Amino acid sequence: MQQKTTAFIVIILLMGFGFLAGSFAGGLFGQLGVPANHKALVDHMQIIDTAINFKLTPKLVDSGTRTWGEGFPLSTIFTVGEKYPQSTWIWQRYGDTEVTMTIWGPDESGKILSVEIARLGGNPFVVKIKGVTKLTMDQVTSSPAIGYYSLEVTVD
Amino acid sequence: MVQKTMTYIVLILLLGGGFLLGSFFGSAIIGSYAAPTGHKALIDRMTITDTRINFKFTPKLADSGSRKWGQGFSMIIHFTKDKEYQQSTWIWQRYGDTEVAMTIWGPDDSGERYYVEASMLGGGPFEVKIDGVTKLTMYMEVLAPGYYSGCYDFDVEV
Repeated sequence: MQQKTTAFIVIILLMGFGFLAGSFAGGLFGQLGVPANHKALVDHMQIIDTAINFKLTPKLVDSGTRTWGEGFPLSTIFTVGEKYPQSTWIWQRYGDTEVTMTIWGPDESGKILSVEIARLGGNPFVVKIKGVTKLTMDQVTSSPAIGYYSLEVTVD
Repeated sequence: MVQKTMTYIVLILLLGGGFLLGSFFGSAIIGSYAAPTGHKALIDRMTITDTRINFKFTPKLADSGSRKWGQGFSMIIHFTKDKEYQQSTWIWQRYGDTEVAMTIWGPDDSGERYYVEASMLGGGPFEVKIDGVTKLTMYMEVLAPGYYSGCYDFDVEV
């Protein structure tokens, strides 16, 4: 009986250890799954809070192959109903998420990626790729604002 | 000798099985516990709907932790600058396509108030409801090429 219990505990421990190791490695697998050109683009990109000259840190939160044009398509370089790689990134200041970004593509030409950026912070930001400014997001002065919405919730 | 080999095989199989289970379900399970319970409860009460086609998005936890308030610009007076509060980041998806990003802060010092920031990565209009009551309607208006209310986008040549 005691031998059975010990064997059962060992099995649980081994599977548990494997599960924990897999959980952490799963994140690594996720990183490997991100399209190489998306990763390269993020490596070339900087998002800077120009109010305090602070560079935000990117973090991959999701990636996969998704159908273009299920919602309202803003870019015309993709074909509605076709599948393309998509990745979602958050840009953080000491862990506080300030900017969210999705990268789509490449398109059929294999050359163009589409980037959507939305802000969750109010400071002015500048987006640079290889040091060249691609987008400027002005300081938020009201709510709702360009790229920024907020609401307050009172709990019961 | 055969018994030893069998033991090793069983050990490896058990570790491997656990590893595989952890790889697929680990982050989702651990992640759901990582979200502050108040934030999770708020998300459970919330719906974000693409009102054009009456499509409800699915929330996914992207990040959570204790963060310092007021490092950037803030219009909210219910939180104390430089004090740490719980923050979680959520993405709301349509079949895996991220349409809305959201951060939840708090509760504040009163313990009663959460602060929600939301921003759209899709065209909208999107309606945010809590307990069935509309709290926010997000829409997209073209302000200049590439600049929209609620979203920014641009193309990059690789």
